[in-house]
Amino acid sequence: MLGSERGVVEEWLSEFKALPETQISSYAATLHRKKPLVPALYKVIQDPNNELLEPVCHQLFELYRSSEVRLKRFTLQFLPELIWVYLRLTASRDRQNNGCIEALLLGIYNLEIADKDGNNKVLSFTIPSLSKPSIYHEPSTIGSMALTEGALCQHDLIRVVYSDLHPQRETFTAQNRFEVLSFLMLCYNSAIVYMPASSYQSLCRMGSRLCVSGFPRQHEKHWKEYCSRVVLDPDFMVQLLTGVYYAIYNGQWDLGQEVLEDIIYRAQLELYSQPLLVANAMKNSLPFDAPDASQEGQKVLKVEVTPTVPRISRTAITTASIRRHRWRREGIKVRKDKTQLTVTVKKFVKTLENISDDEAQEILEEKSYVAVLGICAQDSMGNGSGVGGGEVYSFQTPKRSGKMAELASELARTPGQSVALDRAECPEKTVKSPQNSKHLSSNKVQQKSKKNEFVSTTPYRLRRRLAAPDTHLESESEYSASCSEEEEEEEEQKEANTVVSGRKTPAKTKAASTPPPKKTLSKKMKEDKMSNLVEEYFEAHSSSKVLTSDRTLQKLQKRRLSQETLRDLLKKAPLAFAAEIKELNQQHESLFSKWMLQLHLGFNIVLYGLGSKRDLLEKFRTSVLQDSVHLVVNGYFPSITVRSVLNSITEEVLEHIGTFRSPLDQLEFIMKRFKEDPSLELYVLIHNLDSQMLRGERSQQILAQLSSLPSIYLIASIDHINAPLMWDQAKQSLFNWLWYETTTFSPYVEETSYENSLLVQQSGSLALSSLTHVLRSLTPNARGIFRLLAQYQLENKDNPSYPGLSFQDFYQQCREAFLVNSDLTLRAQLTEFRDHKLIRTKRGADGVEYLLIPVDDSTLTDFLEKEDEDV
Amino acid sequence: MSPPPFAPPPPPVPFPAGGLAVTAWNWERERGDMSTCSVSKGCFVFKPSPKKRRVSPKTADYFREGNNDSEDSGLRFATCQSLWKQIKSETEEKTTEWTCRMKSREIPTAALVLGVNVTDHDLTFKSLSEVLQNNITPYVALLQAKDCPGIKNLMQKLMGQLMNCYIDVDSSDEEDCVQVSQNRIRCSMASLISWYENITKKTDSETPSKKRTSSRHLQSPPVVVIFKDMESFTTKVLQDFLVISSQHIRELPLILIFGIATSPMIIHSLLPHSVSSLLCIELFQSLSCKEHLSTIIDKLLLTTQFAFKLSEKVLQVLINIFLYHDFSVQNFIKGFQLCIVEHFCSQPLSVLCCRLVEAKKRVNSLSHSQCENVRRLPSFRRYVESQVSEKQIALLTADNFLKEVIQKLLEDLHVYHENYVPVLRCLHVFTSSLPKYPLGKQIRELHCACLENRVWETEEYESSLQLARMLNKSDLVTMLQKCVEIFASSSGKEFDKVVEKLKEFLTQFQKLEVAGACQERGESVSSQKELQKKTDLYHLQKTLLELKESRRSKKLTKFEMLRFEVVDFIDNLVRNYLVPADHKTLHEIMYFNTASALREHLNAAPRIALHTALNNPYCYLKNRALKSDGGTISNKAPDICIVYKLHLECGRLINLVDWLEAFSTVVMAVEGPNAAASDQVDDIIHARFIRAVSELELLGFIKPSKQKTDHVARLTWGGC
Repeated sequence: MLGSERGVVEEWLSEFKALPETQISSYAATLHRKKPLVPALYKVIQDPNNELLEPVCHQLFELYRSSEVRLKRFTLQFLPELIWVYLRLTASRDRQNNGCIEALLLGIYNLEIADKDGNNKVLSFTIPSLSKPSIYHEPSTIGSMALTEGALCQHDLIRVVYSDLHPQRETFTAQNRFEVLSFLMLCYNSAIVYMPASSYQSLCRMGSRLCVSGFPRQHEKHWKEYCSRVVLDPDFMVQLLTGVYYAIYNGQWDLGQEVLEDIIYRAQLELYSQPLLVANAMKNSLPFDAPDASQEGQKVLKVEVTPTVPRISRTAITTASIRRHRWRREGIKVRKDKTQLTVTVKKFVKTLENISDDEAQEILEEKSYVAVLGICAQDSMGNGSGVGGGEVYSFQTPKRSGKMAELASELARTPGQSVALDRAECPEKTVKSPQNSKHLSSNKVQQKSKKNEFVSTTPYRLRRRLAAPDTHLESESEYSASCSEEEEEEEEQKEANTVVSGRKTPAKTKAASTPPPKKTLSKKMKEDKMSNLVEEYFEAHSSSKVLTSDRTLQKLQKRRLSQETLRDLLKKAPLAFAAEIKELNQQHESLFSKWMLQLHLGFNIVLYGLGSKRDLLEKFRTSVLQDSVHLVVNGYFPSITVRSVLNSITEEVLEHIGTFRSPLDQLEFIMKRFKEDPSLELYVLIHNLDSQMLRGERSQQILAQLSSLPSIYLIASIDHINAPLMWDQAKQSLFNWLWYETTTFSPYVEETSYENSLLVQQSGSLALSSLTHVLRSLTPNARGIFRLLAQYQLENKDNPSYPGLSFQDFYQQCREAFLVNSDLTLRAQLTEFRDHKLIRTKRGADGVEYLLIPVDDSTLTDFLEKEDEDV
Repeated sequence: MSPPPFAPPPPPVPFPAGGLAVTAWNWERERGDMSTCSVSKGCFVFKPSPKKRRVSPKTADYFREGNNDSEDSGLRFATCQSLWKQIKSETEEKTTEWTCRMKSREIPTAALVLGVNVTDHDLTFKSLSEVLQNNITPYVALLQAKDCPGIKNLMQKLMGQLMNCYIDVDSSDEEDCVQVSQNRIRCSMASLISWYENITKKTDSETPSKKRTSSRHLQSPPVVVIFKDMESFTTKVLQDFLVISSQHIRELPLILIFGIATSPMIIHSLLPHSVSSLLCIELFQSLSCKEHLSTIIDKLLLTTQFAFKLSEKVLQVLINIFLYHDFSVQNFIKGFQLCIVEHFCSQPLSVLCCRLVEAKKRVNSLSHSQCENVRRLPSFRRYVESQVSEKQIALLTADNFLKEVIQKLLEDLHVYHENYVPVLRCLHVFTSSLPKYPLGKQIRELHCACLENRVWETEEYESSLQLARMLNKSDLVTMLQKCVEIFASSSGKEFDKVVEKLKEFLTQFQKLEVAGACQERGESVSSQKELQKKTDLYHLQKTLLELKESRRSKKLTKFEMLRFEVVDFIDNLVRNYLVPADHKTLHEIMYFNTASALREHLNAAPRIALHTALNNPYCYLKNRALKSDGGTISNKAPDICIVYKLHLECGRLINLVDWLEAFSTVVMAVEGPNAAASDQVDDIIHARFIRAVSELELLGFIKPSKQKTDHVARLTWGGC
């Protein structure tokens, strides 16, 4: 930098400081006359190591903050350059040097988002109304007389919001960076007419460089300064294009065209649709040659490009989506029915007889469905299916406290025999299982009838039939074929139903509510039961008060057992019913060859039922699979991932060396290999397919695709009661399951052993031993660093909101203890810790990095004690 | 509970698994043989040594192992397999056929509404793309939502499929991209266009010999992109793709096909107007899955081509799974496959389940034990009992005589099947147009009804005959004509007479038309008119009653007489030929009827099984001590059952101390007074309780709660 330029800048800096308040406006008027100042300032900004940069930034912000609008614009003209420098430094990960530019940009942003009163600004404009006269038209000439001014007013006053509320920002993060920058560009664009030519040039330069740095096209450019790729955001690019558009027509013809090409190039590569759309439109509308530059003044109208707001996406096909669609359709139908209702009232009495017939038939059909699905229950080997749904899925009622103890004493009272609880004694119980006692619920119909009057006494079907006996005959008969669709519809219509019945005239209600005797009773009961259950559910969940005793384990004077003592104790306890369990297992084992057959025929096998199925599968493995390639996956293992499953297939089965970008790529590779080589066969045994780690949608999808390969045979077990919910239709058909009930009653020894069970003392022995193992392999310095962190954490263990040790403090402490000499070494060390999951980092609200050891305090204390012993 | 904080590090990092096991998990050593237990690894691969590895383990071997009697099993398996292959080809042929019907046209976008049976769509799309590739363009790409989380992945997949090569996603993490190698193609629209230009240029300059192949395609073949599951695409991705590609539509003639499961409205709710206006959409509706099912049933069940049959219950289960669960034809076929496997696996006599000629040959080579098997069949026993005593003895003792009889019976069965189908179709013609469809609208319903029991004994049949007696003439004539067609095209030999008779009826009707035209116009015309006009059941019945009254006094017209004759004739046919299959001797050979197995394996209810095991362990553990009645449970039941039973009595939260105490009360009562509260026993009970509770947690009944100290939250309501 030349001395003269430096002098100019320094003079400018000092001049403004000395300026009295009154002369600001005259100063602003003269500012643009200082010819050498602006280029000098550009030079300063471009050089991040210039010591003048910080005061210049500060000064620019002062100018921007002043009330004088010309001073504001003076600052604004440097905005493109500032953004370029900022983004370049960010991309090169050289954050230290751009602090002042960052601050300046944020300052401008925070000033711009709020108006004078400090309220958030919403930038919007109104599309002029056709109903109001303008210089171009008279409202009376358009449209007919019906289109009065008032009517039109309501229609076409459209307010377009092009910049919504923005929150205040204190730091730049990767998430908010482009939100802020786009807004800044918007501000710049709104003042672009006042900018000097140098600013346009800077804008074009910025656009070009941002778009092509790091891409092959950079080699074609005459400027050679190296820069890595800059991440761009489509919104920001659209804003940039807006500015460029103006620049092209206002003197920067060549530069502007170049930047336009660059933006198109970048947008094509990144597949950004919005910038592509805008840029292509601009390109296609360009005139052949440069507009006449001699003519002073503005050549084009300012154009605002409003990006279309992305719609709310609804991706999956859910029942809800289907239902909504149907509901809409039905809604119309119901309305139609209502109008017909008034017409057909007279016919009602006649049709009543028919209705009861239909009703009876439908009930019959419903029953037959249940019967067909239920028949097999009796003779099947898994006798479990004999239970009706209601028994399993009913709701709970709030219970008295001490109920459990009561039952316990009941059970204990007559040892060796089964106890029948006297049901009369506890009336609540009967409420609990309405399915068991149909009489009871039918009694309730009367009690509750007040509430359910609308729903239950005017069954929907009745009215539907009543409305449409002659018009909808076709659909009627379809209905009696009893498709499930119709069933669903009916559910949907109940809502609509109540609305309709609510509006009815009393006379009609009376007519409708003369109950078609007996026939609809069962239906009524069903509805009634339904509403009962719903009420019970909300009763159970409404009261936040929990009626349990306040006793705790500590008061019980019972020491918590550690994992090992628990094991020892359980070994002493004899296994109950060993003979029967063995028999059960033998029954299951006889199915092995059948499983193999079915696996080879393209099915996969899933085992369910109470009891650990691990031993069974192990037996299967050892007895049948000994001679073939197979993979065992312990799903209950706490850190199993689908990735590790895939890795073991690629690395060990396919003996492939190399890594993959994503599990999907890996899966594709595996599928390709298995399809190419028909001699490859693999049996996959998964214990607990429904475990915490594997139950995610993505993992299940990958496993499903894996299992759909013809030469991969999957046999898996599930235990969780909601496990089947993991699979949707698509996954289920990929898995192609055959279900086998294998209730074994054997204890879940392995599955519950990974120290995550309740009640067991969290001894942390696993955590502790892994800590010591990892640390033992490290250098003494690294150990010291970890010790420091651990001690600090223990000192703060009483502070519940302890966020962790901030990196700067930690660095300070480490330096004082002569453990590291630069923050780089410390960072390298921390990376290693992080890789071993020994520490966790998180960013606080103020953007500072905090370090934390994710181990509970007692384990940490143990660890430190042990370390002390060692030393 | 979160997993322990330390994930196992990757192999090179010093984290010795073995050493760890020694320090912390001594017990693991004790059971060293359990090689799949480890704290550092979740996956284990086992590879047998190469020489031990079987080259190709035959599926048939497992089949054989599954059967205690190895006899004939190989043959049976072969039969089973060939049958399955036939059936498979049959169904697949079907699908291609009906996809051809939805021909794609040269418009930018086709929206295919396919219905909710998403799982069947794969086949449709596969055959659709084949059709397109054969007839229209070689460039077809199939895209699925799960492969395309972003626009880049979409482009990558698209270009990969079109250019037949793998294209790297342009990832931004590489610093060396400045000197990127030239042979790697970037995924962008520009490179796609240049590829397309190249390829079309090439076809232009093609040699005449090759011309023939390309002549099927157009001059510049369009690029077809199929979006399999339009609904599950991210809207952003879809919009971006449409906007970008719309800008290049001139250089790249693109045709899109959207697969839609719900309704065409979804296009407009997914895409804003600015994007959807770029498309020119034509709507195509595929056949509904129900129609598809009935064609499949037609092809598989209502034919004599396959010897294998389904019994009523099995068919009912399959249809119910279809109707009430998934609408998936694929699953239906899967169920059918399972039926075949189960049948051939469980029924030793299924060797005979093949074509008649073959079966007769096989009968001759039946062994003695197989003959015994035949004698044990319930339907055969019934047959024996109905014979005279000498013949009974011969049947039960002489194998050769038995074989002859079997051949005859098989032939009978075959003839029965041959006759059954046309008569069933004929009956269906009559019943499917009756008001209210007393016997069902679809032929499958009629089929089920006929299989279940004697259809002519049911009320529905009665009422449908009643209704048939009231058909008007034109309907009746068209029905008769249809029946004639059915019988004429059927292979049954006994139907010549039937056809003749039907034709005779037809001519009689014609005569009536000529002769009785003037006579009919008399007094009965008004009532006839009325009958024809009224279509709903109520009015029909009412008028019928009136008519009955008047008819008693009146003589029947000629037409009415004829009509009665026709109906009686049909009734006779039904009584003769639609005997339920399980009344036939040896039906067990052909019919698979263990519906329970099917249901158990296809439509299982794991939650109910758990519930039963916990609530009533006696179901599984047949021990006297566990026997109980009502909703109670013995206190000797396994720990987990007792703990479960106790937890049912609690509300949303469960106090662990109370729970423990209750548990120990129950358990102590069993131990009796001799275990007088020694500390040791107490600890064991405590441990058992811990185990049971953690098992319940694993099963998903409870979870730890932080709402109150030492409490767990219940995750189920009520009785489960």
